[in-house]
Amino acid sequence: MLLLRKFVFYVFLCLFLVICPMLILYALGYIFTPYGDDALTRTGVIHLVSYPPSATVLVNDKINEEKTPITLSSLKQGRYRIRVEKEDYLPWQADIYINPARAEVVDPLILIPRKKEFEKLSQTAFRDMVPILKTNYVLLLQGKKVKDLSVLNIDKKDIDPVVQGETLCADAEIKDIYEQQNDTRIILRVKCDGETKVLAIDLKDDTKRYEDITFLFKQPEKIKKIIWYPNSRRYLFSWRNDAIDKVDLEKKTMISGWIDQVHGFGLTQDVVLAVNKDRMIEKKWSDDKITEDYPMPLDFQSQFDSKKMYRVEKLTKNKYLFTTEDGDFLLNQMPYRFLNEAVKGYEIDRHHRNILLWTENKIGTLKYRDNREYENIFEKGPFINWLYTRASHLKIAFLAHDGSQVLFQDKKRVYLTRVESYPNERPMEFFQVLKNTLFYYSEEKGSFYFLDRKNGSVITWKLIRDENMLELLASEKKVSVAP
Amino acid sequence: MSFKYSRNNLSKKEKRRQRVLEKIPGLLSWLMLLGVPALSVLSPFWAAIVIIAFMLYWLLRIFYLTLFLVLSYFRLECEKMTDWQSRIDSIDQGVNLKVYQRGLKGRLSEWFLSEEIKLFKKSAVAPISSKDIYHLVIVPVANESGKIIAESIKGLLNSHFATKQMIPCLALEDSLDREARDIAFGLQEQYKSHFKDFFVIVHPKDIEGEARVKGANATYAAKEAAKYFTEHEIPYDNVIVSCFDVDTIADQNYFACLTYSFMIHPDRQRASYQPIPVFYNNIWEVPGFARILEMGASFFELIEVTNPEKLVTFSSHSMSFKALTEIGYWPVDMISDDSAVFWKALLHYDGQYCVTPIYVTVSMDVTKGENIWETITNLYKQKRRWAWGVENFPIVMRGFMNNKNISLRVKLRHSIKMIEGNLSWATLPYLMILVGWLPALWSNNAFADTAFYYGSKRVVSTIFTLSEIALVTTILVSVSLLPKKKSQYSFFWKILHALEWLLLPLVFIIFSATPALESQTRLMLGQYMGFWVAKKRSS
Repeated sequence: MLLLRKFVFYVFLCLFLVICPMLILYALGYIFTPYGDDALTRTGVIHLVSYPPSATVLVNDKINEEKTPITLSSLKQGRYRIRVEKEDYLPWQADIYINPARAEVVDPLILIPRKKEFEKLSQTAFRDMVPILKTNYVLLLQGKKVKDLSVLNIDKKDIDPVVQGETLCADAEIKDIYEQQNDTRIILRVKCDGETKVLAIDLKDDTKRYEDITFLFKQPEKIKKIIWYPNSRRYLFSWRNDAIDKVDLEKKTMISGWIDQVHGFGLTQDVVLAVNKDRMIEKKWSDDKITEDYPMPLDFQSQFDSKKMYRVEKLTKNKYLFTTEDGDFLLNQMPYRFLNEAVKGYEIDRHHRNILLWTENKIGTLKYRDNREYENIFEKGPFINWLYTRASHLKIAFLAHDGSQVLFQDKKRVYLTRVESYPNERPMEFFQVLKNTLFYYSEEKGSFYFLDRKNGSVITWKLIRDENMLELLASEKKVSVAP
Repeated sequence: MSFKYSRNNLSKKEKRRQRVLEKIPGLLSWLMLLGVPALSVLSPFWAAIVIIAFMLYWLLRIFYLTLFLVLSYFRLECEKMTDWQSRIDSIDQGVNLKVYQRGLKGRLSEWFLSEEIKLFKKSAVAPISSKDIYHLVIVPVANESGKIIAESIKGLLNSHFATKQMIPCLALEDSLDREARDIAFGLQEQYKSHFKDFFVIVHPKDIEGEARVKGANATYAAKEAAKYFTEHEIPYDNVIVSCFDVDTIADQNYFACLTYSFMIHPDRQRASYQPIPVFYNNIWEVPGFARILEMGASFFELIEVTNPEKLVTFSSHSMSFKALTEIGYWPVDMISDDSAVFWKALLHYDGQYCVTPIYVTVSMDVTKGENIWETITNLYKQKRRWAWGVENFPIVMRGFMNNKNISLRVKLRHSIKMIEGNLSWATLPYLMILVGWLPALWSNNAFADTAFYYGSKRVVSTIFTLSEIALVTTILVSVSLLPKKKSQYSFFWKILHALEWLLLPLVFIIFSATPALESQTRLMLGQYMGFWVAKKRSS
């Protein structure tokens, strides 16, 4: 037995010494073709994960035995036509160029059902909808009055008036709706019997009562903006006459002109960011102390229009974004202004690496943070990677599925495109919405919400089935960034 | 060579050396456990290469071990029908071996035997008559119940070997309760006539230089027995001493097989005789995780016995009494007396000492408690005690350093085995889990854009799939080895047991790697362990 054991040991040792380098070379992508020009060739891979899974994959029109999710390996350098097919779903096709040692990742690839089963959530016709992003609520408007305002709870799929019963302000005309993503509270600025009133409503509150907080605002008719930090229930900040007022909802007090000479402001978890024509300050909510004071460099000042009202957002520890409603889009990073066209909207991905932005007819991503190491030592700096440039009138866009997909609305039509799309890969059209309204997509539910283009009723459509949704959320997804 | 096999009362230089060596196993294990994730963060490329190499090593290792598990199991099966007494008789009569058994297993058994006889004849060692051999069976008792003690003695009575050549020795701790003590003395009275003699020796507490460990009790009993042998003029050369845990029930063939192995051993006085420990006494009374854990321990020993060059004594085993007295008995201040006695002998005889496997089983209890939590706790503590065998590493290394007579080959063979064994014990289960998680760690990294990321994932996943072959084989051996449950649903229980193996990764993390890591860490930090008596069957 001892001899046998020694013999087997040396056999296994030899096996290890032979197989180990071969396995490593194989994993690195090397293949051996004895009769080719290069006997040892380095290959690349395509990794494809579809939702739903088990779709057939064709590589240059040849059917692959394995179904999705699939890793197509040992692909020599060159262009490959990849087609993904599944019964009852629209096929997906793209030309993918393979570089040696590189992986092309198509994850997730959402397959669109041929037949869309829309679900009608209301018989009532609405004129507009305002989604409260990252919550389960969507505001629906029939008219301009408070009593015309309803809310859709996408969890329960029911629609209720925002303010219930006979109230003094039911007939008040809505002037502005202020909301914050990730917060169920909304604030309405209304005109009631000739007076401007400010009403706070929590959509989660089943009693549907509002709180009149007008007394906490000086000259409510002149309020241009009200903001608060999501789920911070104590402080509100309003912008009026180039000054910020601070409202303490707990103590029912207001400090008028808390910060003066303001041309833009924003919030973080504990400070207010306020800019004037030559500097930006950070002032703490709690003890009213200015913690930071950053003078603006002249280059930045020359780009900054002090006649406008800027929204300031802190992206990372030292990255700030300055935007205006008419489309100014500045970053505190050279070259400050990244495009001359007006930006109609933007969304920051949850990993704080990309900003999805759209103009009248183009949609793209701006990568402002990149931890990756590139072979080229010359830093490229932030740049916009245009995903789609043939739109006619872009209305809204969402990053979906961990930032790998973009859902956008061009006029009335809603499309999906992948952030890392390939040549020959076109955005896929889903449906049309009511004219001058927007759609909403809940990533958590994998469902769309929109107003029927014919009669304005509320429609929902599930893009991803529940069982696949769980897989999608659980899967280790790669964060998509511009190549 | 005279070497003080202890970590206590050392010279300043030896003490310093001992502390440095005590830190090595723990440091290596922690370096491995923290190094792999650290490398994964710092350089995923190199981490992937290390992981592929490690996984291939692991796959080949489990195939290698499974192969010898099957062979060893087959050998054990072959020897099940062996008539050891007839073999003893044929050696006694000086005749050549005849084929007594039929069938493939029988013929193989005869072949193994003929090979051993050839070796014995070649050695030209003088034969010994089986009639001159005596068995001293020391059973140290700490706090076990009288019922367990009685079962142990009754087990000896069932032996196929002449009980009149056996001397059971109940080594009682002074702290043992009155009832158990009375039962021990009662057993002595009742069964003394069946054996050559029957000792009940009470080990006084607080003997200078002793710790509260099993080795101290066994040593005291062995010294008392030595006086008896001297008095009765029984040469130590003719005495085989077996030190059994109190719950040990030796196979009926154990003493016959042991006698035979002793008789034909080319260097019988410089060998320990290692049976296959199995944990069958209460195997169907314990939870599934405990069952597979102990089956794992039996498998480990089954594999180990196929490599006598590196075999170390474990649990209940036997050895020459002469060697025991020459090496100064068991260590009296160490917990791991079972393995320590081998190391002590190896150092004493300048590397000229070995462990010879004997293909019979000794059955023991699986540690259990009153409830599942107590069972978990007791099992954990028992495995930690086993893993505390790492305390031998620094002492053996010091012994090797101080002994120029031991060949470098022997030193290297045992040193590498000790380091590799302890390292694998504490880290392998953790590393297997870690390897599964590393792709998730890399998924947000630039490395995830390379073909190597997907290539390495595919290779690792294929290796995992291939390793299932080994798992299935292990399950089959496990099901075959298990004793039948005394119930009409025996088949059902075996199927259930096969499914229990799915718990293997979790069981190995909790009851194997973690206690081993704790023991090594304790040794590294100088927090030495005290002896803990495992609770087994309730009385």
